[in-house]
This record gives sequence, structure tokens and C-alpha cells, in this order.
Amino acid sequence: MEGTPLFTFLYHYGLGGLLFLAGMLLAWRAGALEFSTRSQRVWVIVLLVGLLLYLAGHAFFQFFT
Amino acid sequence: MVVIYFLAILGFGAFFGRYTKTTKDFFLAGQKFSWWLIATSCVASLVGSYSFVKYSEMSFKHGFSGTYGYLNDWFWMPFWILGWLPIIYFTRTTSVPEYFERRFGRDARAAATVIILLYMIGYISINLVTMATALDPLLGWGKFNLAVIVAVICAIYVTAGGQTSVIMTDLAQGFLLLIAGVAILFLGVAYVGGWQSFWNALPGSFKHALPNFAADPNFSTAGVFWQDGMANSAAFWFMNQGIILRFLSAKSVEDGRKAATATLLVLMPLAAIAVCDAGWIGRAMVNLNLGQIPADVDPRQIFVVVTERICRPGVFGLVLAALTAALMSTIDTLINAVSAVTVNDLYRPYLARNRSDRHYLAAARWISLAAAGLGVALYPVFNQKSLYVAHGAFTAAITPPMVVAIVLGMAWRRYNRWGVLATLIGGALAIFASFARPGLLSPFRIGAVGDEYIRAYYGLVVCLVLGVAASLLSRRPEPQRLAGYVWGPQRALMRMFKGSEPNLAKGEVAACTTQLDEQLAEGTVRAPASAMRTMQARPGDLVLVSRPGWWHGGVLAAHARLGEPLPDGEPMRIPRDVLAQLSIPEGRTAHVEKIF
Repeated sequence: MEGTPLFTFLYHYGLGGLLFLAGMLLAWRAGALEFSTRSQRVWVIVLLVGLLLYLAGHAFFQFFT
Repeated sequence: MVVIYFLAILGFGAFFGRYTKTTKDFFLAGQKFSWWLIATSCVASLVGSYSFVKYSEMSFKHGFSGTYGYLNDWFWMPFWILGWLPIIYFTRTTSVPEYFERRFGRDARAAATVIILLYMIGYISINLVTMATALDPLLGWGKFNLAVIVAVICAIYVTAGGQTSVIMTDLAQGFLLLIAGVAILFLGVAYVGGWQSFWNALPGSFKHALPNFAADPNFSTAGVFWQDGMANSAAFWFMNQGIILRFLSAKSVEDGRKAATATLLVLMPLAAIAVCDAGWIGRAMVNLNLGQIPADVDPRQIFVVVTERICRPGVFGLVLAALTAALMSTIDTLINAVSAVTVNDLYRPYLARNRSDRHYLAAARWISLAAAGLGVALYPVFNQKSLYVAHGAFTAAITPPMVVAIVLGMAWRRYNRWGVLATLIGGALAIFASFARPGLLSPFRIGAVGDEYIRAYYGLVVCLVLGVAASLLSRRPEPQRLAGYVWGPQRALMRMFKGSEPNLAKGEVAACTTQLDEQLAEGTVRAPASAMRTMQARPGDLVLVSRPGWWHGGVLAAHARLGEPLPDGEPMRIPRDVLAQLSIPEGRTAHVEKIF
């Protein structure tokens, strides 16, 4: 499987996703994510949507072209 | 066209010198800019002088995956948006060395200052070299002459206007870069017979978003992921002094976050297309036997070859101006950043303590000139391949330690002075050792990925291990080193910044007529009670007073603190320093926006 477009994609989003997740979890544990304020909730959504947009864009060109 | 461009940028940049009266203006542009202005100017800074040539070459060889290096930063955004930006903004930290002193102590600041200055001054020269190499074949002005001309122009407007001039010229240059890149794409597609013809001329594997996994030593997903996605992207967002100053120039943390989001989700993809599309067009032309481009054309020349064929003379001038813009916008950012680090981390704490702000502003201007002069003076040195390579090795050696030190410092309370020294010194030595003994990289090797990529992976892991081990083996950091400087509730940071409880009630922008009040303290305004209700504001809240209109992006604005409310119907009282920054006569309407 190594060397296939799928493996490459999983490597990028697997390791990168771990870093992203670590950032979100560390922020939450440290209290930097205050879900009580609307602004902070919006930024969590923006971060997740941004990740999904990149993932969808890369997936489109990686698998459907 | 290029001469007109040089003169226009010089005049445009020097014009904004009128808004620079303090060191805060010079380095942080008064912290009043809107997100869209920061984002667009940021694009110009991140597209280097070499970008068009380098990424066109990669895209000609590897296809759409040539954009990979531009589109792998988002993984760092939780750390940056939720952590680093609020920390440095609310603690009023203006440089990485300053953060290191507050978080770890004076020796950590000294180590970081030396590392960052060596890196940035060398980088100015290298940018001059790459710019001259790219432009000289097209203009024929002589490489050194080009370096001198560009350095002099940048030095004049940065010295005059500091960060405001840098942002405003980079805004113009950012638009120019994107327009030129899009023009190349549309002209190129028309040249090869339309979108269908262009798309069909490219093989399927050429359209993949990510390059091969680890088969190509010089360009692979595994290699670029570690070197660019992990080390260099983090360096750009967390360590690059020019970028730090740029985002600290935003009027609020919210605007800084919006600017980063717009940069990464909209402008970076556009910039990636702009710098890569000549390579894609070139590949389509070769496959369709158009433009008499031989199949064995030198990929390093593909940008020039393609643009010469598809652009008419006027448009070709636009492309040349865009190339120049890419260079100037990187160099002006570096000059301002060198001045900021030298004044804040060397001159102010060690060489000339407790002087007036006017004195430090003059010093900042002289240092800007000196940084540009040093960049030119070192041009012949960095024009030699061995020193160019040596600076590359130096950059590779310092990037992982600095990145790991910043991220651990921000995210891990247990990380201490010994940990950061082990990371910076031990990590850099370990990376230098890997140049002498490449066998050290063996446990980290992935397929055929080249050493320069694997070294970033090795460096990040070694620095992380050294930093964690040294911290765990020594005493916990003192609590006063942590407050505000590690991840924590944003409300506490806002309280620290404001000096009182933040007011997070959502209000609207209020419009008030202005009246000059010479009795008011500097930076204080008094608004009528009705305006206070519109803003949901209380006395003591921080506000941004601006001239009406979105178009100035915050140039004609000033931060202030609200005083006691006035009766309804009274004009807003405003001191002379605030009115001067709005550039409006007394009696005109100003907008007031509560920050918190």
C-alpha cells in the first residue's frame, strides 16, 4: 500500500491530524477554549471547518482527477 | 514599467511615514489595522523572490502537488490561533527573544537574540542574491546593481514609515502578485486552447494534490511534510519576527485571527496557484507541442520561458513587477524585523537603557538603514555557493530548536530554563553534528527522502526529547514565569492587557461628532451615554476610534480608553493625539468601536 495516493493522503492527514488534535486538546485542558463565550465557540468551528476544507480539497485532487 | 513600479512603491511607502511618531507605530503600526489589510500584506511577505521561479519549476516537474508546500500550515492553527497570538498580543510581547526572557530568563533571551539576528541578516542578503539572479536575465541591469537599487528603495520607505509603510506597500504588492499570477493562468489557458484542452493535456498523476510518498529524494510527501509542514510552517507562524510584528499590528486579537484564517483559507491557495501556474501551463504546452518548448527544457527556466511566450510586452512588464514585488515585500519585512529585534532585545536592554521613546525611534530608523546596508555589504559573501549553502545549513540547524522551544514554552507549564537551553544549544549542536555524521539520521530515514528533509524530522524529535528530559530533571519553573506566558484562559490574558475586567458584552459601532478637549489625558476619550449604550461599553473599556469608512483599513484610527460618559447629545470629547491620528478636523464624525 505504501506509495499509493491513499497511503500518502493518510500519512499527511494522519500525522497532521494528530498535531491538530493535540493542539485542540491542549488548549481545552489549559482552559484556553472557553465554550461559554460565543467568540470562542466560533473559533473552534472555524478551525474544524478549515481542516475539513483542506482535507476535502486535497482529497478531490488526490482521488478524483 | 519596472522603473515606474519602483518609483510608485517608493512614494507610496514614504507617504505613510507621516503616521509614524513612536516606536509602537514604527514596529507595530499602532496596533490598529483591520484583518483584510494584514492578510493581504501577509501574502506578499510569504511569497519570496524565488517563489515564482522555484514553484514553477516544481510544478512543471510534479504537477499540482507543487502547491503542497503552500497548503500544509493549517495543522498548526489551534496552537497559533488559540495560544501563541493571544499570548504575545495580550502580554505586549514584541519579539521571540523578549518572550524567552519573560518565560525563561535573560540567558535564553540572549541566545535567541543572537540566533534570530544571524538568521535574518543572512536572509536579507540571500533574498537580494535570489532576486538579482531571477531578475537580471530579464532586465539586464547587472545583479549587484539590482540588489543595491532594491535595498535602497526598501531602506528609504521602511526608515520613513516603519511597519505602516511595510504593510501598505505589501498590500499593494500582494494584489500585484495575485493579479499577475491569475493573468498568467488565464493567458496560458487561452494560449493552449481553453480549459478543456489544458486539463486534457495534463496526465492524471500530474493532478494529484500530494507528491509521491517517499520515492523522490528531492520532493516527496514524507520529506515536505516534516521539513516544510512541521518545521518551516511553525517557524513562519511562531518564530518569523516579521510575521509576528504583522499580526501584532492588528487592531485586536480577533482581527489577527481573522487575518490568519483569511490568509490560509483564501489567499494562500490563490498565492499557490499564482506561483505554480506557469509550470502547469508549461507542461501543457510541451505535451501539446505548442510554443516550441522542447521536452527537455531546463525546468529552472520554465517560468521565464512560459511568460515570455504567453504575455504581451505590457503584461510581461506586470509579471516583472510582480517578481520584484515578491522580493521587496520580503526584504522590507526583514529590515523592519531586524530593527525591532536589535532595538528591543539588544539596544534597549543592554546598550542604552531608560532613554526617551524618541531616542529609540531614531535608533530604530538608523538600524533599519544599517540592516539594508549590511544586507548589500554581505551580498558578495552570500553570492558564493559555499556560504549560501552554509546559511541553509544554519537555518536548518536553528529552525527545529526555536520551534520546539516556543511551542513547549507556550503549551507545557513544566518546561523551564534548563529545558529551553538544552533545546536551543543541544538541539542546534545535534543538528550540526548530523551534517558531519549523516549516520545520525539513519533511524529517521523514510524511503529515499533526502537528508535535508529528514534532518528536520530528526531535529524536531531530538529537540523535543532534550527539552522534555532537561525540564523533568530540573526544578519546576517559578510561578511568576508562567502567568500569561503559557496557555490559559483568554479572559485572564485580557484582564492583564486591560488592567481591569474585560467587557465582553456584544455592542455596535457608535458614530459621534468630535470635539477637541485639551484637558483630557492622552489616549482617553469621553463619549455620550447613548454611544456608550450602543457599544455596551463602560468607563475604562478599550475602544478604537476611527475615521468613518472601511477603505483605510485602520490607518486613520487610534486606540483609546473610555472616560466617564457625557450627557446625551454632547459631542465626543477627544484629545489632540487621538484626533491627529484620525486626520479629521474637529466637529467631524468619528466611529467608536469597543474592543473589550
